[in-house]
Amino acid sequence: MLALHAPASGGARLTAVNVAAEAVGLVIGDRLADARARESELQCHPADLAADRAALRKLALWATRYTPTTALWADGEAPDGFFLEVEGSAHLFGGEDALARDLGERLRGFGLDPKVAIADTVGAAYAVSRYSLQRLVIVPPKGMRDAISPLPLAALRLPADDCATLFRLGFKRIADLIGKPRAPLTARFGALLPLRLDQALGHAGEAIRPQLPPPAYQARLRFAEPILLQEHLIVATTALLEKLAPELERDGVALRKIGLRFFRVDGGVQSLTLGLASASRDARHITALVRLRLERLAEGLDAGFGFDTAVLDGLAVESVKTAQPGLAVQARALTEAEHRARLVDVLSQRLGAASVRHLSPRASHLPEEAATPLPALHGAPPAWLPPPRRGPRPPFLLPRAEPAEVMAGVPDHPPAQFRWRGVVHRVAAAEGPERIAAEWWKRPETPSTRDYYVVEDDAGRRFWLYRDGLYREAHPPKWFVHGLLP
Amino acid sequence: MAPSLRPAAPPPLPLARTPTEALVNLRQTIARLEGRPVAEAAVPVLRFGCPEIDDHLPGGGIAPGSVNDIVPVGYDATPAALGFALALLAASQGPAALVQSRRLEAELGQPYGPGLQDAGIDPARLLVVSADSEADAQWAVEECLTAAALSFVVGLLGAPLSPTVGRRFSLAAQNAGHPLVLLHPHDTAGSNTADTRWLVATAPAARDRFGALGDPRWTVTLQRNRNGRTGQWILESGHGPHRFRVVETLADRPLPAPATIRRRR
Repeated sequence: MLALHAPASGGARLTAVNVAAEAVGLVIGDRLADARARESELQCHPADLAADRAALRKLALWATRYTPTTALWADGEAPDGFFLEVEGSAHLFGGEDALARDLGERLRGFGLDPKVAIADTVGAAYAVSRYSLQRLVIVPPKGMRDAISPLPLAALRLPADDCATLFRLGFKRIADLIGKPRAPLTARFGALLPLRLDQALGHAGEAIRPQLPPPAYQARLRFAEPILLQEHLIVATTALLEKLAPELERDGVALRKIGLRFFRVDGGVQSLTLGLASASRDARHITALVRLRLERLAEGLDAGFGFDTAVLDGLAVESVKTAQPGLAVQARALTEAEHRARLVDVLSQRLGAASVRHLSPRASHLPEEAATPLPALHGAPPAWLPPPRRGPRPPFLLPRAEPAEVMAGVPDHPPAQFRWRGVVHRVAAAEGPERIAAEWWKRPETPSTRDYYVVEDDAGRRFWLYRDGLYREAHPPKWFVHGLLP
Repeated sequence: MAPSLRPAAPPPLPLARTPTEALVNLRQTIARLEGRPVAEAAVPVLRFGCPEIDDHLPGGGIAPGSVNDIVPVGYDATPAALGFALALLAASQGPAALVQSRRLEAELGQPYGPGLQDAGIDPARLLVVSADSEADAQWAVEECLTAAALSFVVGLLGAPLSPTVGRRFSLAAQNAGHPLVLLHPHDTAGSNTADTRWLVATAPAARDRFGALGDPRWTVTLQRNRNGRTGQWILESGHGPHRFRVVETLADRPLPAPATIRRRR
């Protein structure tokens, strides 16, 4: 006998009971103290609402195998269900009836006890699924009124106080409210009551907030048998891309970012998101990228007992100019930009987008801020202006300036000898200083001025050193090596 | 009639007007006999711009489709060797890739746009690739070579190459028809299939008459050169069209009359 409880007004109350507890007459909403007094063998645990919510979110994500649009029940609604928008996708599963049956069976397969209802409106579906005694209800079109009339007022998703007040006033069922004058009800209970009634009956529209933004382009594939091998996932991806291709071609667009979701038999979802450097419809190219991505995942995708559904979403598309193919049989040669984009795609998939980059200039006097790497996936490399007249810069800059112990004359003599990375270098010649004032207009604290020197040691090695600050202050300034010159 | 057992006759040598042309013809014939791709005259070689070095190289410069090793002499010479590799990159044209293994990133730093501009390289030409592991870096180098989008690839490696990978690089470079420059760590021998191998050490720079630092100097040894001679020079890296100046030829030079020997200060 097991029950979960959560704090409520007037002491903790039960929020969930198992079958055994239900059999002895415990009901959700009982006081915890009463329940314990009645049943000494009851095991009680505090409810973990956040974990419940997360599990429900995962389940709703899994349910996107039926439709792109799924939404958890919002605040003010019961925390144990979700909506599916099946209007456009029920025919893929053999109609609403078959879809509801399939959904119910699969959820039962996960060890859950679901109640499924399909109705024309969000409100009616909620009311029927939550308060009908049957496990599976399909409200016929325009049949909302008959379906919800016998249900209690709580089915309208009203605040609990309002429900209690209405109950005391004699409104026991939704049927009692339908057709009653609205002005007094609105005056007493606010605009929500008539709105919820209208929404349930289909007189007012209602939007749900989907978990995932519905993609503009989507293709889905169901397998007769669960698939387990990486090679099969690649084949499935190719099939999905080919399925999507005519639609893309019709609209003159190509994929720039795609999402792949594989639905596991046991209710999990594995998803991949791939960005492309330039829009592409080429199934061979994209599957090659998917293959690289799968290989990069150290232990691969966790397939569990196999995947039975695959969905490809076109998350971002770009319009492309389609050239009419010539009469010649051979494929059109790719342009240099396309070759480059493909190389960037391939490298980014295996090494990660941040590892493949272009160098981008920035307007700053501080050397480390004068250039910034930009992932090459973002597009063409930015142009550089010819450098202004300034001191020399090293071709490679250290990730951060490394401190050095320097012997130098005061106030602004170049280093005579310095110790860096554990090695003492005797300076043979030096050039400088190049003074770079800090960007005081960007940072509020008073930053220090830097004096940069190029020094060559007695073996001909060159270093780019700077002194951070001036010798005026009480504490002596520090020296740093910022780069190595060839 | 018995079939002829004579080997196929070698291809006839075309007539040459100048000794240089004759040499080129001979080299192409040998390449054909060895089954190597014949360097097309239309694909330009990468010239150093100083005849002392260019004359040592079979095509008069770094050949397209060649693998070129750069090995620093000692750990301290790594920046100088990097500078030499970048000078070759600056001499090339068109888009290029710079593949770097992360091990080197902590030691040498990351490519820096303004500094590359100083070295004569337009940063917009470059695709910078960092690889977490050595295997990824080698894969990326090969991938960049096979891509038709690039015309020059520089690989900064952090570990010695296996002979198999060296062979793969060589084949990929030959197929791609553009040169590959590999910077190896100082304690390795380079790749087994390299067409040229350059050992780079630092050398003290000259001072101008005001005592200021001159351009950087490197002692460069051409240690391995397929179908060509080896040599050793002190190079000064310059700007503009003359990226390299030979300051001193250290080996393989004709004996001059004693009076004309220049002494280094």
